[in-house]
Amino acid sequence: MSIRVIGIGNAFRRDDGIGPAVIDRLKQKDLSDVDLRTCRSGPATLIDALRFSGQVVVVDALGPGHSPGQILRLDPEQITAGSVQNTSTHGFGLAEALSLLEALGHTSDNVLVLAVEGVDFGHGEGLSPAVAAALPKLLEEICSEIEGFNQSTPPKEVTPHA
Amino acid sequence: MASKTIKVDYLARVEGEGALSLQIDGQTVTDAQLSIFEPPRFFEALLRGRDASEAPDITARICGICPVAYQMSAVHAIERAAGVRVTGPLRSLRRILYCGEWIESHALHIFMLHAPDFLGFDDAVAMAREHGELVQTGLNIKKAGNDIVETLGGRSVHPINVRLGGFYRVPTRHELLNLGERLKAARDEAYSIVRHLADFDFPDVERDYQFVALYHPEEYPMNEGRVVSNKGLDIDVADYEAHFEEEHRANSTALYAHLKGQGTYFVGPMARFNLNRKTLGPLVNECASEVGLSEGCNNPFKSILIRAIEVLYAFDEALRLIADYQEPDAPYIQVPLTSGEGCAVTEAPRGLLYHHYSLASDGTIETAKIVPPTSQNQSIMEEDLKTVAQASLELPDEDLTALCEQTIRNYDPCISCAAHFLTLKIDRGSEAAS
Repeated sequence: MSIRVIGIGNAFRRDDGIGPAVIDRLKQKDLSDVDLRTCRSGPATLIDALRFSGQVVVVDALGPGHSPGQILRLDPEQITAGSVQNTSTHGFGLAEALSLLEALGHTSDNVLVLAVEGVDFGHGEGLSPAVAAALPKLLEEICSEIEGFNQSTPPKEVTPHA
Repeated sequence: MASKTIKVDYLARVEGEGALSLQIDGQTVTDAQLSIFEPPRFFEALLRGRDASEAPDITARICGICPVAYQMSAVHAIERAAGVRVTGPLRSLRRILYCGEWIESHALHIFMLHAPDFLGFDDAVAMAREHGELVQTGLNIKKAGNDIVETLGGRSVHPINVRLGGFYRVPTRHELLNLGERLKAARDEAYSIVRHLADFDFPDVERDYQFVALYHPEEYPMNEGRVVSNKGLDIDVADYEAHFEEEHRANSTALYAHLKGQGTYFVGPMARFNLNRKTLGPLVNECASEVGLSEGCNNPFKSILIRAIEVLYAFDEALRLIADYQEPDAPYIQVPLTSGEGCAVTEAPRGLLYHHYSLASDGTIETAKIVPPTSQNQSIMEEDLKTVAQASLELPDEDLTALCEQTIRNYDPCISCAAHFLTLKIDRGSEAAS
């Protein structure tokens, strides 16, 4: 498998659950050649998931702004961590994980982040209407990423048996 | 010298929300306070009325770093109420799971939270630029701990496979042997890291603590044993509340625990190590001797070394239990629930974790009491702050503040675990007479 999709977030905090929700939807599709992962919390799991030699697509929620449900395509360098000093490991998120990987000398050129602006990060399950409405478009974008990637790297030729 | 106050309004690199303040008058530190302002969590209250079988999964939600500890204290307390004892392979599996949590939790604290203090960095990311290999080693060790918890617990954070009497599903022997193979490389890294950490500069602080931990004659304690101290305490777990009490102070949502009539005490890796060195086994003890800990340890700054020693032990113990593992006949034994009382102490990564439940005849929980390690260490942390600051008053404020924060991090406090429900008392005077 040379493409991985990582859904980050907590499904019990409303729109923060967009990452896991996407992975659940993708699992229902026939994507046997795609590695699907959910990262709920904790630095080690996320760092481990990001360290992948193939293409990585990360789906994460973005804090509330003006356009709930809008999808942003971001390069890792557009995501900057504040000082990690002021967080416990509970606050160790995507930005911190990318910084740590960069500090360890790993490239993140193969990482694309699809961030979805959320509006409700309160307790409970279920996405807000705005974010739920963005799901089909988000899935479409991910699937076209997968398709584009598969087309640019055709499957290895199988040598027929002599 | 005039009086001054040193304050850190938001403690960094600890789990949860806390602050510290130090009052200095002239040449004397007059007060040191660790304030825990993480909101109360109400867990003891929300357990009331729930079926006792739900306690391991509800209490596991208290902490994302040490959920296994909460599951273990809960199942042991309720099994004790039911008069059931889990033995054989199921007991071993619980111990392997706990090894996984010690490795996960200690690795996180050693490499991400505590090591930056010794190497002079603000955080693990900055440290990684100069000490990439050290951070990478930490991540490898943490990943191995996650692997254990995921294999036995179903997932690495908030595992869901623990139940009264055992597990919902037990691993096959083949699965565990595969896990053992995957652990070996990280185990060797843990072995070499102890010596590496021993090269850190440790502030020269020693105090005469009362260490309290479980003690078991045959094994380094996790789930079973008597509660003992280095000053003569030696009690059955059932007598815990006769000897320990908690009190509320205005500065903290965590309760302060102390030994009745004696005062503060110290729980955690250093207490376990000092009271149970014999059962660490020859290899781990040799490793401890090589880094100067053969006679025990009273320097709280060296807790980072002891965590590393416990990580090494946890790897070896998990590998030993995996090699001996035989699949049990059933994944759990029946635990009949009826009215009764039960309590248990297990050794969470940060120290003694006490649970006490009383059950109604239908197996629901009538009352629950939970005493986490951080609230037991809260007074000791404040005493350490006073001692360390008093001995370092000549330092500029910035350095003194950093040293005080490091002093707190010696204990790897989990403030989220410690935040506690406070009894709210409203005095309305004569208006409320009716």
